[in-house]
Amino acid sequence: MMESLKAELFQATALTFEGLAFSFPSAELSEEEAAPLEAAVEVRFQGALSGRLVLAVSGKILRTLTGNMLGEGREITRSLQFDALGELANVTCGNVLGMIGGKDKRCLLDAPRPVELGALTPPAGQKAAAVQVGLDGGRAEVLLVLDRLPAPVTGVTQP
Amino acid sequence: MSLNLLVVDDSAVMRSMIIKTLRLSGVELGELYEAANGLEGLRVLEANHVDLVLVDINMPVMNGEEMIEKMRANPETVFVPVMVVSTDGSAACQEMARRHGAQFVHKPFTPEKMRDMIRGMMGVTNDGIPESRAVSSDGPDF
Repeated sequence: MMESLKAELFQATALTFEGLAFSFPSAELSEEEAAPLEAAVEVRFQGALSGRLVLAVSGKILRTLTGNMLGEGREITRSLQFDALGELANVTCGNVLGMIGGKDKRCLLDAPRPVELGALTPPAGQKAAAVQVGLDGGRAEVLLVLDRLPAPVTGVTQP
Repeated sequence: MSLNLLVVDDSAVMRSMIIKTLRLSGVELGELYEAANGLEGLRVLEANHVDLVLVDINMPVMNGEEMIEKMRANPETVFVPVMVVSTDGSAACQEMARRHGAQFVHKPFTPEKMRDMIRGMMGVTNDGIPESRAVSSDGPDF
C-alpha cells in the first residue's frame, strides 16, 4: 500500500511541475540537484481523507519555477515565490488525493502556509509517503501524511 | 470576436498562469480583469462587461461556489458563462459546477484544453467564427 502511495505521489508531483511550472522532474538527482532545501509549504486537508502534504524545494529553483509560472515581465518577489510554491503544493495535493481516493471522494484543502523544513519529517507511526524529484538545478521533496489509509479504489463510479 | 474575461483566484501566481495560458490558447482576448475572491469578482462584474468568468473554488472571503450562486441570482449576470478552475476534481465538485450551468477544468491545464473549452462555451468555431449563441440563450442548468 505504501509503495503504491509513493508511486502515486511521484506521479502527481511530476504532473504538477510539468503542467504548472514547465519543469520536467527526474527520479535521479545530480550533485547540484541535491543542494540543501530552501523553503517549504504545507497544505492540510480533510473530508474523505485527512492529513497534510508538505512540499519543499532546494537551491535557487523557487525563483526559476515562479518565473516559469508567471511568464515574462513580472518582478519575482519573495511573496510571489511562496505563492507559487503554495500553488504547486495545492495542485499536487489535489492530484494525489484524486488518485488515491477516487473521483467520488471529496476532500477540502486548506490554504497553503509556509512551514519550517522540519515539517518534512513524519511523526513516528503515521501513514506517510515521501518522494524527491530532480528539477533543473535543484530538487523538490514531498511528504504526504494520511491520518488513515484510504479504502481501495474499485474504479466503480457513482451513477 | 474578442472576449472580456474575469479571472478569480486568491493566488496572484495562478491568476497570472491562467492569463498566460489564455494568451497562448489562441483565443482572441479583449479586456482581462482579475479578482482575488468571489466578492471582488462580483464587484468587477458590476462595473464592467464580462463575457466569461474563470473562477477557483477554495478562496477566502467568498468562495467560488457562493460567487456563482450570487451571479445566477442576479438578472444582470445570470447568463454570463462560468468556467470553474479547480484542483478539486471530485465528482461532487464537477456536479456542483454542472448544477450552476458552469464548465469545469482541472488544474493543471493546457492552452489547447482552455481554447477548446472556451470555444465550446462561447459558440466559436476553430476558425474563430461565432456560431449561433445557443449556449447563452439556453441559460444555465439550474
